[in-house]
Amino acid sequence: MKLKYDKLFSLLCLLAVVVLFFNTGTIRDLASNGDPGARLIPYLGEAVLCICSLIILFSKSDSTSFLDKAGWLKLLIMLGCMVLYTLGLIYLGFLISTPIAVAVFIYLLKEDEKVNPIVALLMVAGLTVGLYFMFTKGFSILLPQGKLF
Amino acid sequence: MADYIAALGVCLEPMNLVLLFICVVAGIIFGAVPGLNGSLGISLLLPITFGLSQNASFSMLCGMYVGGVSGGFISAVLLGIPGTPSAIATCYDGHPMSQKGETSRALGLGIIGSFIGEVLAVLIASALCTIIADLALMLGPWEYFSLCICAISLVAALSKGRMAKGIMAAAIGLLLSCVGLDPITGCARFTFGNKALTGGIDMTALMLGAYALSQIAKSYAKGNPKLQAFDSRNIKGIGVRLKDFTSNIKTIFSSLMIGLWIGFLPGMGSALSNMVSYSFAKSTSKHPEKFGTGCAEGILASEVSNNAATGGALIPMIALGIPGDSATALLLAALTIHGLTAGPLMIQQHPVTSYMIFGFMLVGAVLVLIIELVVKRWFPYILRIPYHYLYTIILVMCFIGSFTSTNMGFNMVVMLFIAVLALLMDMSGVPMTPLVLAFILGEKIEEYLRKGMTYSSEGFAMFFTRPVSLIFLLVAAASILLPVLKPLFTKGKLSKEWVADD
Repeated sequence: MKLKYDKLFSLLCLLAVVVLFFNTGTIRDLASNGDPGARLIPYLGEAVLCICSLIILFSKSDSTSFLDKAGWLKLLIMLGCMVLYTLGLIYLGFLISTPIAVAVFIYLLKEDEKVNPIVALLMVAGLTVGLYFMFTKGFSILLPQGKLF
Repeated sequence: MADYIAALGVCLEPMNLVLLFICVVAGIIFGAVPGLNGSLGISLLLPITFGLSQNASFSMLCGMYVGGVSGGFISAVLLGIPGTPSAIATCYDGHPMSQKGETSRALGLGIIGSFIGEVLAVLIASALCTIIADLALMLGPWEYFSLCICAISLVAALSKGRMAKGIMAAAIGLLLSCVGLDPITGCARFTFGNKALTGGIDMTALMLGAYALSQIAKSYAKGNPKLQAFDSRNIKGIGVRLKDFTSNIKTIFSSLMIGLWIGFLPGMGSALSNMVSYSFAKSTSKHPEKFGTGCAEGILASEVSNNAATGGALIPMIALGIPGDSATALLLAALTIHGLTAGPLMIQQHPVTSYMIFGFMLVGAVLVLIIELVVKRWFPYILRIPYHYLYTIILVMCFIGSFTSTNMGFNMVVMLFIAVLALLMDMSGVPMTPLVLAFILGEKIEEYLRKGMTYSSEGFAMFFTRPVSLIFLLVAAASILLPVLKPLFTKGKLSKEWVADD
């Protein structure tokens, strides 16, 4: 039997509630006179989430189809590129990973449209240099340096 | 009054005016392009404002807010596709009017309707804010707790689809707000040994992940919309007649009031107000059959209301510290970043700053009017910006923005996690708005609850014995129970009719 998305999400939420419930028990309780302590709101949130998840799990589903097979593949590719860009920023830094990411994102997002390579190159260089100077020189805000360099 | 004039003076300083102008233009573009909106623009601007002065920051953020809400009507009129959810109802009459050859008139009605709604709402809001703030000072933690619960339950109950999903989203938001140190005793919660989570989930990372990354990923997976080209030769002059406004005074007034009220209610905003206002205008019109065929009344109802909602949303933000919509939630975060705490004391302690926000909205509305009337002919070019360049810029800025918010690479991981969560929620039909509202109010709810119980020996009972607190809790309960109980009463009525017929 194929599970609908909302029921699957409810199951994930129930799993999260179990994990969080045990974690809540480890929170230091420094409750003083009248103060219910740091565990109250987490327990409350977990209870409400549990009840709502069970209601959705045992009632009629109203979720519709989200993506077809090709759409799922595209979504995974996009999320994968985002993860790689994140790792690139953390380990390689802004100046190395951003030009690569911009080029990848442009060619990924263009789909069937034709992209002039010179315009794309200008966009890669312009965006990287522009953002670098805007943040570091303009706003005096540090950009990722990269752990490896 | 003196503070208001001083605030307007700050708004009219050359540097602030320039920044406001740039961000109004950017806001109009964000509002006009389907898939983008002013809240996304504000999320991207927020990290940039960290290094700027308070005045410069708010000029940029308010400019983006005003431009973003106003710009939504452009693609609604030209293409029949709303640029933002706040312009859905504008499509019903704006596009048909354009198809009849009256594009200039439709755009003109949208521009001037937006201006009327924005200016009048901001003026009324600035007057009401002081009164509400004074009333709010009489309230204690019990009333604030109940007000926050009422706000979340109203939003959850009005969520599209089932209420259980809205409340589920609110519970997730509440749990996310618990990550980090508890506000009273400083105990670490849900950090799982990770020091980076000690400060909690960053607001910027949440907003960028939920509203930008997930939307771009979904838009790419579903296929970016192919927007048809539009011939701009039809757009000439201002296009509107004085009679378009004088004959619709009643609609303009009712839309203003509806927008103000819905904007005031936490978590609702322009997306709801334009639909409610359009429906009301149609049901009370002398010629309801003209709605949907390209009538001026329909466009005015939508545009006056959606811009009035921005003024309404400012009232709870400044007077109570509760955001009226997602954009004011981000403005609230900006206030916190600059060392200000929104709430009833803000107007007393920082009157010029409080009125400055209203001032920027007012001046922004005037700039929007001038810019849109002057460049009306070039609106179709905004819709020709290639998605692959636009989305790439936004993606890179999201990652940089989330990093600079806390200066930690881990914040980008948090942003990705929120984006995946937002996609899962979208797939399941679980709305995002209750999550965001509960996340923002979560810490305050806990603080008020625990303080309320500590201040009194009666514990929980105090929340029910204080009249104002009890009223808010009853409204919260009614908003959740009524939709559940109403079908039962309706069923009972139907079965009685069956018996009577027999």
